[in-house]
Amino acid sequence: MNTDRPRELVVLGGGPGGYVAAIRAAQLGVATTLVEEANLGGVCLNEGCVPSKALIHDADEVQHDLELGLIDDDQRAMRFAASKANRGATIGRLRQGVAGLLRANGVETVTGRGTLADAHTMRVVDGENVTRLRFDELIVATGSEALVPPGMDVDGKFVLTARDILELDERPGRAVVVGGGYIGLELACALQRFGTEIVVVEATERILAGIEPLLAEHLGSRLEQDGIDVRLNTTLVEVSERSVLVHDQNGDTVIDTDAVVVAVGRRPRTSGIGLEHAGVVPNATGHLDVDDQLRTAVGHIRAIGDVTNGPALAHRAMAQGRAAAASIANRPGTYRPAAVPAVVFTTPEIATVGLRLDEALGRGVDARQVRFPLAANARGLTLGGDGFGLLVHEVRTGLVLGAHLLGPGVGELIGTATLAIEMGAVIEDLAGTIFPHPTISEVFGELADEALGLPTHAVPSKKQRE
Amino acid sequence: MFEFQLPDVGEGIHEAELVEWMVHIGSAIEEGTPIAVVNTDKVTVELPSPASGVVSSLPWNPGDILRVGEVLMVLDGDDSSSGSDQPDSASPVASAHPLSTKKTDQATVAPSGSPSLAAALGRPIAAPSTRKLAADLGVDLEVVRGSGPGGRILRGDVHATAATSMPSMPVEQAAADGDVVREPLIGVRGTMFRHMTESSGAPATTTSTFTVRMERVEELVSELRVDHSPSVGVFAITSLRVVQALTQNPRLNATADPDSNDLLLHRPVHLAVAVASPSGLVVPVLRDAQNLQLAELSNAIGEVAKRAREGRLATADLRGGTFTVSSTGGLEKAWVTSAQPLINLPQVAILWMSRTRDEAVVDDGVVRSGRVMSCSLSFDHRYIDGAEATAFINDLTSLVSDPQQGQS
Repeated sequence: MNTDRPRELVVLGGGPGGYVAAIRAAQLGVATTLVEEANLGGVCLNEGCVPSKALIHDADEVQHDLELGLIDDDQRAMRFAASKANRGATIGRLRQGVAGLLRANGVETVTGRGTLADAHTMRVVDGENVTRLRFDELIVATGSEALVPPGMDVDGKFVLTARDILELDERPGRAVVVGGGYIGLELACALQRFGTEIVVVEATERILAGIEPLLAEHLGSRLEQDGIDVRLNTTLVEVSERSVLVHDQNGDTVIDTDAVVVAVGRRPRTSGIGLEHAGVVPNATGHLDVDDQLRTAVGHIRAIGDVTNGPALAHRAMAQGRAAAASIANRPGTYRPAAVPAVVFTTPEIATVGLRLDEALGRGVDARQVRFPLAANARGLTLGGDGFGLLVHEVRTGLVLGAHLLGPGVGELIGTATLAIEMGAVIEDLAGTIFPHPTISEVFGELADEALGLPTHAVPSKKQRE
Repeated sequence: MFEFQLPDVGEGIHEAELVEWMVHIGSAIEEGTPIAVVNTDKVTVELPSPASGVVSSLPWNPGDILRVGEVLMVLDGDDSSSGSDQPDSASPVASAHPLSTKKTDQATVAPSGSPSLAAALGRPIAAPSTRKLAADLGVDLEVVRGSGPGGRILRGDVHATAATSMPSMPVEQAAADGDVVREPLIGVRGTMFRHMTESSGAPATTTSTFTVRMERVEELVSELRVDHSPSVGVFAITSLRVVQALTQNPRLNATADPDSNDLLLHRPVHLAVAVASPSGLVVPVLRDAQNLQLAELSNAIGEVAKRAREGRLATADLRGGTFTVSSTGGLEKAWVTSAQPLINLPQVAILWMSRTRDEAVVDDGVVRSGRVMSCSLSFDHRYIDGAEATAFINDLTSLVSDPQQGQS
């Protein structure tokens, strides 16, 4: 490897943000080097979104088979181990796919832990080998890691992070999930269907902070119905051997458990990579502040993904990566999405994009929200009928501001609403679009009709009848 | 009451001498009426009134030097209702100021379909493809009026704004200038800009001199002399080749945005032609030269040269150039073989051409007498690197030495 030649662009981190940025930069003619210390694909592909979705899918099938009497509880436990093996194969294929794409686009990949020596030099350590890479431009894409509260000792056996759950060979009989955010609830739902008894401990008064409360409340009651014990306003006091001590308004309680899953959030990986040697200073939350071309205060150093402020979501990192690459290649344009969607892969799913009603009103927008129940949708009813859609729109113009869905498979639908928001669609645009019948996607047309006061599959309100 | 401030009558001109008044106090004038003759170091022009009204004050005498922005003349409005003393922002200077290029002009363009909604949302309401178009054209969506449903900004709205808000272009000329690509000063380009500014200052003028074989051009001149009554000269043909080479090398057909230092790449070639006049060198602009046939370009050059000699160029003739050609061929007695032409800011490149001379050339290993012209290309190395300048020179050389190429 030629270490004297300065690299045009070095991307630090091969996660979804980093590898996408590297591919796009190379496509735009920028000679690009990607530095990754572990596996390509980052947390998302190796220990996060992708394997957890595989676990969740297997959990759904196990639940189905159990309900039909095709398997008993012992077989269900065995399926947990089988699920891990399948996941390994899937992840391996995807990893190879990323490596192949980088190669095919002419990205130089350097394995090792990269730390900045100065604003234009990276030191890459791979075992005994130390390489110095000079660069003109840098993209920091080091991602995030599980936030572990002080005093908790993650041992991978009793106290686990989400990543450790995916490495377990046997399902825990009982588990306490600390944190009622999307990571904790997704794992809670999956483990519960594999037969684990679950207690979710959430310190605040609600689950899924930031998600439209109507959806979160509905999900909370579904979780309770399915036998998941969700304890709000409850804090973890102490972890002991095979039990935890929690505190709520009634005092302290001991919960016996076989596993403690820490899912209280993620923190950006901005320390230990030598940013201080390049003059890049993280903000109070440890994130890197960037402008709309993803530049940090040091102009030739950009940052994308979980190290920047905003939701820690792979698709946001990818979009930022494309924008950062374009900016380095001198293409006009900025990272300024109208909306970033989010999906929570619980049972049922939640999918959301754009503004909540309270957010829109809070910005001084004259907004209203309409609701349509999936029980009034043929396909929704065949899938159990549980769920609903909310559409937030501006009153005068009908501009679509947000969509919030709960129900089976709604994660696959939210892209439609995201496109509507990006395109600046108004209610009439949705009302004038034919959605296939019978599918849950019809919810968008129904919501638009409701907003226009002309609902077909819902009983008109008294006001609408007048 | 309306105060007419001295407009910027030409790029980089900060002051002008009042030559004579063409109106008197008490004259009732219409918008467009010539009010004064002013003389800059580049041109003598008649200034039209930007508004109608009765002249109430002419606070300068012929011979006075005025700075751009100083009040040249005061008008009382002719509108009967204006007897009330509206403290007069009703006719804001910007809108009555035909040559102003200030950003405030755009504010008058601004009202978006639902500006408060876009502001509340913190984003313009436009599809991703429209936002990309705006970025490509250097249009700020905040000032675009959305004509779509709910105030949505459509592609046509972006084009319309691009056509009326060209930076460093006079408003009345900008309509033809929709196709401009802004190249932000970032990445490797930004690094070159900073390094070159540090080492050379601004602009970082770099000159390459080269010779071009002119036999084919001269053949074409003779051929055309037969069937065209107004003769087409060497300069017109080479200028046409320059225009063609510029369309192949768009980074040289560009101007620097004085505010951001971004490079603005212009699709149209507004060819500035340095012309000698009795009052000195002037550089009138041939707009949309890329659309001109050879005969049209030749006529246009002849026309501006004639007006320059007669001191009849309008201010508009001097504005908006994207590349300059300069020739001292008509004046030369000596055989000048190189020059260091100075870049006509905010442009980023200029080409000087010598007269054509006999010179020993080597064709297929045989020395013979050839016809050659020397050219010197100065370019601003903050924006254009050596490879780009060389590509332009290569294209120009092959276009000139084979006039059948790109025949229009």
